[in-house]
Amino acid sequence: MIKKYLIPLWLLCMPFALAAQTNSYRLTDFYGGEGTVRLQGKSASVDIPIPLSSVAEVDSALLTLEVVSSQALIRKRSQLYVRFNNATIGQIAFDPDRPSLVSEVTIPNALWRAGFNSLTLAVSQHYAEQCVDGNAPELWSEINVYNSTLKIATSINEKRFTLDALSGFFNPGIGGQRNVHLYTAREVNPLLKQKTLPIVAQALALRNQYQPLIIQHESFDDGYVLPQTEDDFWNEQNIAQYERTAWYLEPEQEQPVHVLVGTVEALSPVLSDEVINDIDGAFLKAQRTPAFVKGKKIIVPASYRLIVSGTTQNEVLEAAKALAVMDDAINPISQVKVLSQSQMQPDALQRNRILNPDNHYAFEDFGVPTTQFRDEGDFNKRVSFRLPADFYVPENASVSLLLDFGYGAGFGPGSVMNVKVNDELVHGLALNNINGQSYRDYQLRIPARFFKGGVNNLDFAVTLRPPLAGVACDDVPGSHLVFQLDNSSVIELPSAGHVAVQPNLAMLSETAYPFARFKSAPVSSIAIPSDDYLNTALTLSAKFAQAAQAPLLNVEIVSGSDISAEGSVLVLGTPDTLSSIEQEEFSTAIKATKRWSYRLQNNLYNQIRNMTDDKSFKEMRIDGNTVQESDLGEQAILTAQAHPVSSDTDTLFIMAAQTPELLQARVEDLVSLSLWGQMAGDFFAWKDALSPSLIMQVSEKYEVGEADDNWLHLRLWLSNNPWYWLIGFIILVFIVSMVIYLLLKRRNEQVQDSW
Amino acid sequence: MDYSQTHRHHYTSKLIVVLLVASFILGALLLAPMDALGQLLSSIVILIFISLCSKEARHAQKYQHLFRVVALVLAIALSVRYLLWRGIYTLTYSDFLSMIAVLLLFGAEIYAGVTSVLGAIVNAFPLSRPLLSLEGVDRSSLPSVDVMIPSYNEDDDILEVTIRAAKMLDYPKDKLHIHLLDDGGTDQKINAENPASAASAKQRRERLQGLCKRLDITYHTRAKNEFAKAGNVNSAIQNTTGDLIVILDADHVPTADFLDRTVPWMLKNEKVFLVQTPHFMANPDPVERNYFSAFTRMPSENDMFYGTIQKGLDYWGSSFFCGSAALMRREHLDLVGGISGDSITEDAETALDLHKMGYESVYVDRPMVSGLAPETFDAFIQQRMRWAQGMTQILLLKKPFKAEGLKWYQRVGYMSSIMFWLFPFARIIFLLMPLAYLVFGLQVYHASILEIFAFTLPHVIATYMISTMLFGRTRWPLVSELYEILQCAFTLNALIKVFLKPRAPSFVVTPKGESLEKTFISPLSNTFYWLILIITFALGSGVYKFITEPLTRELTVVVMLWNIFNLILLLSVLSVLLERKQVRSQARLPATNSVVIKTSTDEAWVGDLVDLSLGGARLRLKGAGALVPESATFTSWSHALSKNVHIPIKVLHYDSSSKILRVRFAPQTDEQENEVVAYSLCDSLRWMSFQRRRTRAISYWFGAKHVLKVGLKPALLHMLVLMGKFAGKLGLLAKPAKENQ
Repeated sequence: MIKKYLIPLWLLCMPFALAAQTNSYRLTDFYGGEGTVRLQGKSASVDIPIPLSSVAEVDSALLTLEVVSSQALIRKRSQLYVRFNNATIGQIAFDPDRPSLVSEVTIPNALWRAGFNSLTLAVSQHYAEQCVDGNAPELWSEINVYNSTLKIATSINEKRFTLDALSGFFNPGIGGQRNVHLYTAREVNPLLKQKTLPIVAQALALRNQYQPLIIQHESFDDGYVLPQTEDDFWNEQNIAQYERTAWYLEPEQEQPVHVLVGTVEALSPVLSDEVINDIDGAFLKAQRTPAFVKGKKIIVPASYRLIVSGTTQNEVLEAAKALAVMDDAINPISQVKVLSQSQMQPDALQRNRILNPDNHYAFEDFGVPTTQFRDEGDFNKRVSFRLPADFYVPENASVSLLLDFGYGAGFGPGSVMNVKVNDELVHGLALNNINGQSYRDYQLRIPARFFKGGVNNLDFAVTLRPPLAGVACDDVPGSHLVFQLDNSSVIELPSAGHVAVQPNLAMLSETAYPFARFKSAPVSSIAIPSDDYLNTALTLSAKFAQAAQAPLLNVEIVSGSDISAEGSVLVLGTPDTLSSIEQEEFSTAIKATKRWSYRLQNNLYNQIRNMTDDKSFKEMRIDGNTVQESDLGEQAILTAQAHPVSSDTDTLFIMAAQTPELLQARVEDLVSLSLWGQMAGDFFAWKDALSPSLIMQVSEKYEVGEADDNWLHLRLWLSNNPWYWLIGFIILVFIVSMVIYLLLKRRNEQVQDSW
Repeated sequence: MDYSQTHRHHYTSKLIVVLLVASFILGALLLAPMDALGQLLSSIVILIFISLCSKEARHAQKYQHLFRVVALVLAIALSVRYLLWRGIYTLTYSDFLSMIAVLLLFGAEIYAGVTSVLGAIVNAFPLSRPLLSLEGVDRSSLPSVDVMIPSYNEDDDILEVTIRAAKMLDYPKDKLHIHLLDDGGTDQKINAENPASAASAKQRRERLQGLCKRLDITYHTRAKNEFAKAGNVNSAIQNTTGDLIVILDADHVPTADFLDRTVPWMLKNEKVFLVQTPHFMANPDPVERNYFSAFTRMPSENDMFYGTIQKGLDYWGSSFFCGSAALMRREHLDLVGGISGDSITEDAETALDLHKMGYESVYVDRPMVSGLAPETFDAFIQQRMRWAQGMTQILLLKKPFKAEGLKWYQRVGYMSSIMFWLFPFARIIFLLMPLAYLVFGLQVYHASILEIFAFTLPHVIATYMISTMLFGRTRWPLVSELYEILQCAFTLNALIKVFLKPRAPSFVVTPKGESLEKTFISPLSNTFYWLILIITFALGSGVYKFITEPLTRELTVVVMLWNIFNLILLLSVLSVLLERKQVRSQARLPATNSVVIKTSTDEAWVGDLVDLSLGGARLRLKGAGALVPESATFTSWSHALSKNVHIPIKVLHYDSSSKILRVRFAPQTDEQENEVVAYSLCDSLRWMSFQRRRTRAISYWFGAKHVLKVGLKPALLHMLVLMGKFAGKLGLLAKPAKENQ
């Protein structure tokens, strides 16, 4: 009896047990810099932000540091301090006799908090007991952040499951979910597959921000089949309990949250009557399902499930859209019925995420707070913002920065502020007024060509140095140094056209262009030859939304390899399925027979580029190739070229691997953090998640612009075809000159006649 | 010309206007919305076309003019495109000072563009007139001619040569009347308050009266010196009656065939009020003398105007009076009350007044008058300031751009000539504008390096190509820039005065025949020292900017190149400011006549002239000349007199290695004096062959190389002189022995 009462309690505990997981991360997973961090000087530090999902609870965390220190450092006065959220959790003494060390530091569970946690590695380094020159070259130590690891065990701490917890489950931090199953009824409605599922996938991926989310589509049967047991087990109570579980789940499923998508009718086999009764419109519900345990054996695991439903397919779509734009934090409830939505045009959603040309924005407008740097050291403030991928400005346009900043008194030599735009140094200023100075609207005019479509970075690198003491063995401490960059600083963007250079996989990876556009949002599609490719398509659709940082309502999944439709299209397939596409015009062809533009068959440039690791991917005119019969092996290929049949200048992408399964595996590699950013050129081949096998630009580039601006259209046409225009112009000049000449000659004759 | 012909003529002209507008539109079309790379491509193609066409246009061939027109249309299109691009895309500024700098620079560029377009129109089809002669014309039916020689302060010697040459003009003597119009001996001058100047004026009047009496011509003077040269001539016009009037400056010596070549044009067309001929300068101006020392090798400044521009203006019926060496019709002059006197360039003003009335002008391209160019830089600047001020006065007072009665093309012609003189505004801006960027950091030129290559450079290159095509033979590359820089600082000041008070400037006679006994630095040099200092400083700032501002490096390099170009020109200018010694009192010009030197004992030597001046000659003997006695007779054929002349000579020097004999003419009689003048100065064929010899095209690179070569040496000389002065001030140098005594 007691046992019976304990069952529900035990069941409640099950999710924790199920969701508990242990992961090991390299510190480079959290740190954008190089694999080795060198700390120089008497004191130096590096901050590594470690994100943690709000639903994760840390059970244990162990930091392993691999450190090398200079042999010149003296014991006792030279140490590495490990601080976590400003609390010192470890002190590692540098030993000149043992310059290389591996040290383990346990991070107390209580120090962890949801969101970003700051791991600070600070050193104090001395080569003598006194009179240490802070700039002495021997004062250094190195931390190998690639080999240093954080081993962390987490479990889900969510007792209740409400909609606001969604962004805790789908979170870029530790404990966040990296793949998700979307469940539908076995008979999938075409609209559901075409539009709704991609939007649900995108909605969840957007919560994951930059961390990839692998989407898997599953279907459930119309009814459950009770597991085989002894005869008297399936009494009414047990059957009722079994019905409440997510019995359709695969037993091996590890991720806590899965999604049910479909109309109420389609979902009725898996929903309880109360839920079914609640669904009378576009409907979202977060629900916990209990586990079903028999003895010590878990028949059905407990789960969190998100229900995206409605009475009609359109209502389901509405619900998916609501999920895509929803701010979870203001929905601490378990279910929502969507009545209406406005401003849900795809182009508007995409435009809202960028800085629009011909506007000016204060830094605070795009979420950059006032920044203050204190004490001696090198500091950097990166201001990132997104411009439309098809940001196109005249050659001489410029972007103005009106900076508000200031620095306090008592700055010493070497104090400077350098401004970089996309890693190009554009301005430097010595902070050399001993009394400090404050600037308002400090204007920098930067040629707009320094900016590009997609993510742009403004870096304010500030070095703060105290004045020289002028006395040997005496330093002025830098605690009084302060520099402030205000959020009232403004960036003024020039007016710009909407033109992009295609084909360009780098742009696809950074902004999802041409699937995400900013002036308009024509329907774009991911074409799949069969449902075997649906997972791959959904994962890619989710990744595109992450790249665009907005739901792409215009991206659809269509069946078949038909590329006659308008709009940019990504065709997935294997060499066999791709044979139906006419690829004679393309520089490369992926069919049963392949046409490869091998580098040695083409110009020298491509070979040099590969040798020198030049990533500019300049245009390469293809004039040689090899046609061969072979399969693709383990690798996948992604190519891009002008859409051969579309009336607009759309782009056709083809992604292929030897089998649908291989393709799915490769796409999971592709959307990983390490590989996605490496996409470039228009020919991209890879076989793991680390680095591509080959990147090439094999098609001629062309410019794609928005059709409604005739002037811009003309500009593009002329820029792409200057010869036609030039020949016409020269002919016109000859005609005009000929007529002028004849008239001048006639006048000359008339003058001569008068003699 | 009958009415229908006039009508057709006008119709043709209108069509030409339409087509000119069309070619401007071509320029706009050229600014097609295209990337800078596309524009660069089109610029390169167009420059290649211009280059090919202008090359073809420089050879005499059937389609020479067609190629010329194509090159001009293309170049105008490039320039129009450039200015449109500048106006539409690049005029951005961030503060008031930048705005002023940006607009000033753009204004200067518009000015340069407009003048080059006007120049292209004017010079599109230079008119070549046939050489007419009075041969066969009934001499009794010829109109009577008054030759007027206005004088103010010139030496008697100069006047005597001019008068003697005028008297030898090939024209019926009963119809030829020579008048000396003396403004230096007027009643007003004689009664001047200053007794010394009054006495000097009186002496001058008496001397000149004596000269006129001796040479049998009429002496004129007047009560007051009103309206300067124009008033002087008008006063004489009232007292004379000849049908035609020749005006000759005091130093302008006519060749014998002057009337023979000009009067026929007056006979052919009753509506012709002016027959203008070139001014041939028998001595180098300071630039020619000091700069290249290349008077005999480099085309003179005059050659461009008289050899090309006046012919272009003549085609458009707007060649104008240049103050001297011209034949005018009294009947027409009377209609406008004689020579106009509103401006200090009375000549162009008179022509404008008569063109407005529908009368016509003719330009005969044959040098038949040789004059003297100002010797010193000072005098040269004075002359140019007068021209600049006078032309600006015409612009402001007569407004030729909207003058009633002028055809559109005549307006273009006048505006082209007048606008040229506003160059100091633009030139100063071009000189100093790099400072605005390099020193003051003002963003005056808002363009990327690619755009500079696509728009700016093609425009500049096309302008140079067209300039070479139009004026290549008569103007070497970079020489125009040099002349402009030399004048701009001084004429700018003069021009501003005219704009403030258009009627204020007064006529200043250009000093001529000044002697240069020693080499010295022109007193006007200080201005250029300052300019060089400023521009060198800007260069230093540019280097600093290049190092410290990586963002704008491209633009900094371009502006620094522009600044260096200015600096090189300014350094070259220094060479002009070094006034070189001129040993000969008369300029000696090359000559090739055969000569016989004969002694009183009938010994004779045969030789060929090497060069010749009014004072003497240099000749290469065919045999050994060591035995030529000190006195002998020089015999040679004079084209002017159509006979052999026998002139007594004194031998100055003989160089046995080169067989060169230097002689001085020593005329004993009046007739021999005439013969010397006729032989040395009255042969237009000699002037022509001399001109042809030096008008030759050189490549742009040769010109640039030359400028660099001659520019740097004088800079060092100037520095030495300046250091010497400085040392002198400090008392470091010993004073010359003479002064010590």
